[in-house]
Amino acid sequence: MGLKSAYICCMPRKVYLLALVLCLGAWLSAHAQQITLKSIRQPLRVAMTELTKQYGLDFAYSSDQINLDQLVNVNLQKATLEQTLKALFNETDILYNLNGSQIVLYRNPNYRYTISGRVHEKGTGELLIGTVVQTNPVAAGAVTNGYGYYALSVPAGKYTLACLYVGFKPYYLNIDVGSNQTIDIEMEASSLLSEVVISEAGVHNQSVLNKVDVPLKKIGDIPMILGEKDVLKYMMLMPGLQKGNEGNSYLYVRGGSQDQNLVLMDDATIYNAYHLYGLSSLFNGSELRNAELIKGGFSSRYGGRLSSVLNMSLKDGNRERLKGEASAGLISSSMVLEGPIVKNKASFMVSGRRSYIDAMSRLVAQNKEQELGYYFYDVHAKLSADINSKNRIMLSGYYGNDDMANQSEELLPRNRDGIQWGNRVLSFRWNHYVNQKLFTNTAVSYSNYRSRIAYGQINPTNQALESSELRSAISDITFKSDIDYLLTNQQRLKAGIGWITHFVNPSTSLYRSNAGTTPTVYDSSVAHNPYTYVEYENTYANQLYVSAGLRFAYYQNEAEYYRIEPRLLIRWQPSKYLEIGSSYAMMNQFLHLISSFNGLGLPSDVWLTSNANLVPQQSQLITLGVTHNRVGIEGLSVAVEGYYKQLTNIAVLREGGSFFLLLPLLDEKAIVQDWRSLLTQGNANAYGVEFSVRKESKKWNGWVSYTWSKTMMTVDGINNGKPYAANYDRRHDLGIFLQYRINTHWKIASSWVFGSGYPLTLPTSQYVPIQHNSVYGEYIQNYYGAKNNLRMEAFHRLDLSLQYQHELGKRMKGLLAVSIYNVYNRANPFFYEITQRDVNAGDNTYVLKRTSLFPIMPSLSYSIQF
Amino acid sequence: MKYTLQICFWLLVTIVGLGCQKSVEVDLYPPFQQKLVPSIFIGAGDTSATAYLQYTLPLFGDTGTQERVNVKNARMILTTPSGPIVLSYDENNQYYYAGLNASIEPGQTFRIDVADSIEQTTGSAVVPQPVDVSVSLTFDSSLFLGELTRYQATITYTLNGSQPAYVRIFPQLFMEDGWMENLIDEQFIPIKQLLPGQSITQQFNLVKPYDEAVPSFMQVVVVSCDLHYARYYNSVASSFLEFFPATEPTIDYSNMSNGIGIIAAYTISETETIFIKP
Repeated sequence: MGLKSAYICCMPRKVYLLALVLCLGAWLSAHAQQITLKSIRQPLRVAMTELTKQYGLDFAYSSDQINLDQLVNVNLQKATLEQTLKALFNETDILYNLNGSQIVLYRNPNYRYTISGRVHEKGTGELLIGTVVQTNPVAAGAVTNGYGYYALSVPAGKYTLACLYVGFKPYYLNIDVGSNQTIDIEMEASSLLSEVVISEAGVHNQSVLNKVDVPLKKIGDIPMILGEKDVLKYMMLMPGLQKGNEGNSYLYVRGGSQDQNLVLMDDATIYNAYHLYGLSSLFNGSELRNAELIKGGFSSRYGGRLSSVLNMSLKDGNRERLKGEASAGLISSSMVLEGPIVKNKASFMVSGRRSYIDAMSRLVAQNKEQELGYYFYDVHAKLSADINSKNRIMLSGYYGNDDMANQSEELLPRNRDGIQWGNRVLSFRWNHYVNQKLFTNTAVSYSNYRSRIAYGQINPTNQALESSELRSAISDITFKSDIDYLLTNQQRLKAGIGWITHFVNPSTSLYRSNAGTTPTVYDSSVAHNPYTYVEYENTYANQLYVSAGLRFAYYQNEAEYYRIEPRLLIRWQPSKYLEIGSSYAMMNQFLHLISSFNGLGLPSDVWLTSNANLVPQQSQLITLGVTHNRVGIEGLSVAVEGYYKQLTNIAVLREGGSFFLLLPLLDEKAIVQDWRSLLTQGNANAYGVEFSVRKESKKWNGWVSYTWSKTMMTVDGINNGKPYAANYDRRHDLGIFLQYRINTHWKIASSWVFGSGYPLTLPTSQYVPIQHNSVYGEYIQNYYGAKNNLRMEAFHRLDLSLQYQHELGKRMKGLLAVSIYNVYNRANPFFYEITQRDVNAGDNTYVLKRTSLFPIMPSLSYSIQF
Repeated sequence: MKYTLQICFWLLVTIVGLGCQKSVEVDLYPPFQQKLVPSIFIGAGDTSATAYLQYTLPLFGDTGTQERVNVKNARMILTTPSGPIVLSYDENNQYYYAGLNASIEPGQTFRIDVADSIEQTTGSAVVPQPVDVSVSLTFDSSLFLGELTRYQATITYTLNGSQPAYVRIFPQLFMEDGWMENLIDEQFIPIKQLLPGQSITQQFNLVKPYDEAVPSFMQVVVVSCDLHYARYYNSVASSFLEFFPATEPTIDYSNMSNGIGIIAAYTISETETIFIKP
């Protein structure tokens, strides 16, 4: 007997009665018997055949409604019929009715099918992160996760699947949904400046509130110092981030200090993302697939830092053909090469950059002393491969160094008389698509940041080279596993576990001479930081999005700490263009940074772990924001966000503390061996309001961002315990960017940044401090009155750039960029010092002098894409 | 080619340190305002009071004097438990002085009021109770840079009793010929509130003061301080480190109403004498 039964009709009465009795008997038999059935990941058809054969069950259904190919998982022992049917159809779109002896199957009209897959860039195969995927008419919407994966669920029916991504042409596909489907999408890059993404699908996890997305293809549009493209500097033009300072490239986000930003590259931590003087960060964008900065409303997935998460993904590499980009600028040249290893299956990407300040200076310097002995280099590399349709693996790495020789008279070897610092990062990740609703990412990564400051001398008595060094290093080994689970179209669950082990060696002091090397290690420690988290997302009526999460972190070295971090994010989208959002996040940070030169990029930064005396830092952040994507005219968007952040146990250098107290003197140990003794801890309150206006059209593109903020610190032992403005407290921050696309070849752009002055502690007078039983006698001393008692002058600068793009062949493009940095030659403050006016002229009057770094600077760069 | 490189290089030079824009004189300051700086330490057992009074000096302008500028004609009144006393300026010692009716006792409060024709300031302190501290030390002499001999004392002191206290110690080395020298902290340890039973170990050094010096005995003076004493001591000691580059500035502690100067109190609790074997 086939599975399909015809309805019995027009039968003779006796036959009918006989059949009824038989069926009733079978039915009673089936109900009475205990059913044993095992069908693991097999089509429904197989399980039903088994039931019919073994137990005589009769299924009735319409074949164009019921899909018997869907996989089921059933493992029953001596179950009743009811239990069997429930288990069999529970996870399917099928409902059943017992109609006499028949089991009538029909499609559940409310069942939602899962549409899932990955979104790629057409022509490269590069996964696109943050793509809006939605169905029209509106039934569901989703955003691709950090691995380009999306999943949404819709009722059966006909839809248009629409994909929207900034800088790409919208993608549409008509689909007929009657079963779960895997649809991989290819989107084509747009030649327009950007495509405005307005989602019809209602509120979902895609918003401009609390985060900054960097359109990597547009980074080159921003005029940069000496033509060096830089991801971090692009971000700094956005609201909530300070617009930088002279020779300073550190990120200061919403009242947080520079060590409170978690910088991730392919799930591995980068500890120092900057090169000297802020000339450039480690990332120029060519090697990246995605970069986003989260400054509030943190997912429970992230932890370990207080103020922001900068999440970057390296390109997987072109899966279809070999591609590359080479560019040369005034201070460095770089190259990116990417291509398939196995077409459409596996690919590679490798990028390298080296500065040639040292090489150029060697060519023109008159003697050794005039040379600039500084260079840096970066190497990024990535391999990715699809093992099969459900498994993908990625191996990413970074290796880079800064190297600065001390141009001393003796011209000693760089490693004995110079400064070196750099990062090494390696991460291995495995993406596994368990089924259409469940996605997992498992990663193991290694991060290392190390620095060395060495200074040497030739011993005048025996002409031997003697040197002292201070080495510092921090390394992490991290394991993590995350899952994304689509409960329903409205509900998602994220969860994960992880374990970070920090190996911290803040200072190793070495003295090297002919007699050998004598290392002394101070304060080295190993700390373990396991964590787990869970996060639940729900969307109500396509208008209200709520994400609630909880993160639990345990920290252990010589001390133990437990921390629970609640997170909440609410967004309401009452209309297509209007969105209102609010968030709360508690964050903890178990690492602390000693930094003497804020932002110079010099390795005067030392990481320390929490211990019994140095408790973890904590922050609580509340945000409230509104954004409107069409204010009056198409393409004009406005956003306003306010925040309040409370920070506790912030570690700062104590009064009289200096990085230089830690440096070993020649033939002697450091003055301070216990680095923690240089620190003290206190609290801070930060609040501010951020405004941004953005207008985009085919010709014009630009934005204005303004932030008013205030960050006040209160630390016992500093400023006599009275509140004072944080060193990075800046009240007004303004950034304006404007770009005009003249034609398909020419673009012109300008940016202007303004930041009110940073606080500054300068003495206001002098006196002789009288002490009881002083062993030092009397001496004159500076009197400050209060910490950060003055403000630096304001920082502002105008930059211009002109770009010319032209075809060099069928598959080759050239881009010439001319830019002028600091157009009106503003002398922005780099540092202040009290010094004599002009000793050479005999004027010994003490005055305050401001030193500036960067005058007006034209630059030229040229790049070729092939 | 070389000419092109030269242009590029000098562009670079302008940014990377060597060719940075020249320093420019700027004025960020409000006009200088001279302030009174009183300094008075009230010691238990003393039968007189001395106070220093100076003016702050301008930071800029001609290098001028680098010495204390004493204020001689101010009005200085010390309010003691037995009433106010006017301190008079002693030209020889360059401080204000007054004899007291009775010796200073722990627990007493003293207030100082200072005024000149422009400014007035005031502050007060309470004399701390003596403390019970156990002291142990090891004494050593060693070669330093192969030439000079230095003396080193490692002193551990423990607070007894049941009350927390601020404790400062200072060791003094007496030579056989009667010469006395203070030993200097090897590493600055701020005065913190000690809890009962808590110990601190400090190292002190002294470079041999003269060739014939022969150590005889060491005295460790234990001082019980009030909070103002401790904070002022810590801040002045911290600011002494400012000759290091990039040092965090120290905001000198003051308990005077005008924000500069100190009135602090102390009680010398014990003097431990340790004889040194040759």
